[in-house]
Amino acid sequence: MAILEVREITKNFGGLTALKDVCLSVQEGELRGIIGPNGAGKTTLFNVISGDLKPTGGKVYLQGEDITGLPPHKICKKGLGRTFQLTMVFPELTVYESIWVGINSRKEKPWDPFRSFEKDSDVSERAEELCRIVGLYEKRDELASNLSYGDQKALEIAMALSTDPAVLLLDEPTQGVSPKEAEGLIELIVELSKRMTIVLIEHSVDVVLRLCHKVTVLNEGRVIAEGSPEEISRNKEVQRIYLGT
Amino acid sequence: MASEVASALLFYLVNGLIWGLIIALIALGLSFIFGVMGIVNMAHGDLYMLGAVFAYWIFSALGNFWLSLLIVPVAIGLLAAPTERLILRPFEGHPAVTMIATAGLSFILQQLVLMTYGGVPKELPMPLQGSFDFLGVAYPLYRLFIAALSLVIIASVWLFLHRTDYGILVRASMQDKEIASAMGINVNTVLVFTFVLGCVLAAVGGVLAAPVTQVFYLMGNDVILLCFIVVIIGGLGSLGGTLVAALVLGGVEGLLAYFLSPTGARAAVFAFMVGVLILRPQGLFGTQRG
Repeated sequence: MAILEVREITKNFGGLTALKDVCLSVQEGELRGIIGPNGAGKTTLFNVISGDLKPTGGKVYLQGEDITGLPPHKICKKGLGRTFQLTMVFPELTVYESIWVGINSRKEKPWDPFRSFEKDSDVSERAEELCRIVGLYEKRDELASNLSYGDQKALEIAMALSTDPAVLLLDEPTQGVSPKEAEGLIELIVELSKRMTIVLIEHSVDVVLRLCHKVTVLNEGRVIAEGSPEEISRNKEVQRIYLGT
Repeated sequence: MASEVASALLFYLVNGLIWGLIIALIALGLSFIFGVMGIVNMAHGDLYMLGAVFAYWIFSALGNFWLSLLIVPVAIGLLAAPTERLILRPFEGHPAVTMIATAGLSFILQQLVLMTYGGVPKELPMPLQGSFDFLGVAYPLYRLFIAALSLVIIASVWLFLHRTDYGILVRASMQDKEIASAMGINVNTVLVFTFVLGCVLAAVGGVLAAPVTQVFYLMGNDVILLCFIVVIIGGLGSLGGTLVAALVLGGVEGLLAYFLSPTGARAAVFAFMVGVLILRPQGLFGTQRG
């Protein structure tokens, strides 16, 4: 059974069709790449899956459960984590606090106005572990806004991981970072993909073809190709879109 | 002679600072609501007014001023929560509309109080008698109590925001609602909570001020102006900036009141705000938001 199943999702913005009958079936443990030119609907698809946008038509299933149209915080609790295309962190929270928010939100009675923050040892252990995983342990007490751009990208991933997702959606995690930092982030994604299902939107086709088990190509809101990296790189229509020939 | 001037000045300064602390409480609520919800609450001054009017009513009915410090926060909370749900939530993301909605709310609250409480300003007796000798100036004990309680409340809000579970959650939601909800936070409940807390802070300011000012259905108008100045000078969303700006403005206005008419002192405060906005549009302590 697919862990993430998108069935015939359509999303209209007024008269504009951003997604048209998009289907996507991601198996547990898969590292799926999504590529396509600007405006193909990649981020819109993520927003529909994560609940930030309600689809005009179609269904989304996560671990067999219909999550279509649920608010983002409920979908998060069902096991979905995501990052955003434009780097978004809480600028005035520290690395540790930012990660702690997600870990805490998964608890039974998460928010207590009278409970002193940090007291909870299983939460703080997990927060420190996540800081280590993304390589920010030394910087855990820095404010997020003081981090380098690449470190902010890593923090974003850690924040998405903090809610302990079964499926992780990464929206252009290496966009705008230096080649060296991008290499570090890619290593991190490969490492993570051994433990969870990841769907990756990536601008760099090379990266996707190198890393992913399976690749879906979107163009003008439709899935135009899907297959292994080899199949995709041989696909005539994909070549036409990317090379303009 | 010189020492008389000095003690008079000191008296005016302390008066101004204490008034500044009350303003800080109210402005903190305003800044808080704006920071989390993006709403400019035009009815904020009227919650201060409601706090004072409730205090008057509670004193008239029960003969005890101190009970209002317990009852008013609960009563205002019960009013504020449905207001957020029913009046403000439908206009989420439309700041201009929420300004109009809260301005309408302001008129409704004022007219309701006019209908029930009446249009004549009333006074409450001092709940604490006696005075405190401070550097040769006899200072009313109750005003010092206002200062102490305001400081305690402001410190508690700070501790709450930085040292408790829920506080971190509120700060996270204040900084980015989209990521907060992607991380499993139900931002809607945070919005209700924030609005209630902001309104309660204003109402407690009203309760504290009631015995040292005239309780009047339009008393909020004066205060909301000062709060806007404080929040703008302090930098929107900067809680520390709000406190410092309130104290500076209260102190300056207090001192100027010795030399100028109250109107002149208020005009000087406005001139100061204009100057700040020309030189630092983001406020003294605000950070530029990209």
